[in-house]
Amino acid sequence: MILSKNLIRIVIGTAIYTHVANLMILSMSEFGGNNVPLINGEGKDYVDPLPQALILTAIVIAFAVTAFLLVLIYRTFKLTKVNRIEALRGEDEDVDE
Amino acid sequence: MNNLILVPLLVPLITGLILFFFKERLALTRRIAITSLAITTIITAWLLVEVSLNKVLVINFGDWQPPFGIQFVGDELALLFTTVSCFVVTVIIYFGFGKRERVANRYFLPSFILFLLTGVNGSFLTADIFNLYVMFEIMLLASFVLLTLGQSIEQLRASVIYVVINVVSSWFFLMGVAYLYGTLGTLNFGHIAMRITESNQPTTVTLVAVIMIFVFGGKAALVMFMWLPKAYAALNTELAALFASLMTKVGVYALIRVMVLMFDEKPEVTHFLLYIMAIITMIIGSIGVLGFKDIKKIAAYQVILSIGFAVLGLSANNSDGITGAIFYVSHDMIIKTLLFLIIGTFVLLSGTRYYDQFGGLIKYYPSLGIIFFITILSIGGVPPFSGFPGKLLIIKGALDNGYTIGVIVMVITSVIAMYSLLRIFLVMYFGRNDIPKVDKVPLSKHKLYAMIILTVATILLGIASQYVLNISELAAQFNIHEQSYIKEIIPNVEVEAK
Repeated sequence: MILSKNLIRIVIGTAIYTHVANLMILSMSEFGGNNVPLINGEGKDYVDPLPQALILTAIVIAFAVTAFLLVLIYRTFKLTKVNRIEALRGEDEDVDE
Repeated sequence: MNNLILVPLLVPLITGLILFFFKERLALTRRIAITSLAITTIITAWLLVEVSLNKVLVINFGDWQPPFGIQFVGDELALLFTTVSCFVVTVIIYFGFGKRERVANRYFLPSFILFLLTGVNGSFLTADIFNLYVMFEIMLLASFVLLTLGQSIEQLRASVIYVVINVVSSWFFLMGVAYLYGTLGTLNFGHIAMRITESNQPTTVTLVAVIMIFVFGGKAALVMFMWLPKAYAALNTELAALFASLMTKVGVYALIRVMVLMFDEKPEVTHFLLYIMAIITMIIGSIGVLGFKDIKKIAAYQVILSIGFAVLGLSANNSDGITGAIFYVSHDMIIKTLLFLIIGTFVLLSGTRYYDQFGGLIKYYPSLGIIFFITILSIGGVPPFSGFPGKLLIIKGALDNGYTIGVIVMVITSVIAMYSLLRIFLVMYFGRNDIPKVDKVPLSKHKLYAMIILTVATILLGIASQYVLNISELAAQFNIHEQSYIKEIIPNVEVEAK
């Protein structure tokens, strides 16, 4: 998706990427229990709380970035009337693309 | 005392928030921002001196004992970079904001510059790899906003590419963090270093190291450089200076910290990769500085070139090389700011971005010429100025490690860098004067003063290099000998391990 030419598709691609990363972190949890991680004396078999904290943070950040990207391409669309990535190549550009 | 290391993080953040309320009074916001940043710079500089004489400052947030809570560690490396970046941002704000834009676009600039600085300082100070990711994101979001403010078509073009590339590289960073946590079960820098040494760096950790190299290399424009010249050329003067001095350097800082402290068990894989990337970067940079006639693009490629130098020192993986890299990066923050300010002023004065379309500036702006000449010498690494000691140490370190080709490339590209700037200097200053649009644009006083301050800083850094080198040396030693780092940062964990 991220390699496609449509700008909206690129944004969706990045959103999928962040989901992948979140699931990845979740799968890295260590203890593999089912209980809530509360210190109540019988603390056995509880889930690893750290990845969940990380994912929460990552979700918030990804949300902000995605929102920003959407606004960005909306503005770009308004100004240039294109939603294709190749149209964003500048006229004065050189061969390095 | 320990709490003071939060100053470079909190003061810009709070000041930035306060400035939202005064957005329509530009002169006032400028004054507030400069004052608070100057105070921050002084405090961090004082902390730097304290730390280099005594011991490292550590703060545990919420009093969670390490390695569980987030830690901030003010060691020499972090504080040196923090001090320089605060100083540079102070000068950039003093330099003032772009003239060409409409006023409305400038309302939020100071705030977001300060937020950017918050992210940068946070990245320097944190000792937790996930927190590093968060700080990177703060910095990047602020930079996205700065890049797109103004909404000209050129800016939007550059920023779509810039944003997407950064989102993808952040994703790689997150995956790297996930793998690292899965393998080692910790996120604290010191604790990671300890467990890597204990586990004798299995293949997975080397894999993570390679991911990290690509992530931070992408941020530092190491090999993955496509986004940089375009984005920088789209920015106006002071923002380009800000990006050039801070954004890429944060990537280099992260590389130094991560590679030296943590992933140093298999240098034949990781550091060799860095070495190759450094050479490629230097070659690309030198082609760039020669190939373009647009002075803004030349300046952007100068940034890429200097990243190559710093990483070469890092890849040598010995004390000299790393010390040199640290010194060189702090020198580079100052000198690249100065270069971008000068180049921006040239564009403003001459009204063109192509150096061969204008000449004869010497008649009107002799003082600017002197400053530019000093900058060129400093970038080229001529002895009395600040470029020299760093380069010398990098070369020494690389030679000790047998990286002869790298050193040869570095010397040649240094000369090319200097040549490309001298060419601009000669043409713009002494070249033919037959296209004069000279109804002399007045060069405002504070811009000139800002540049003079930076020039003085580079000269001072050159003269007092011994002192700064000592600090860099301490910083390098502290990170190379991970035992000392572990002992200072996570004493309780070390006791448990015994």
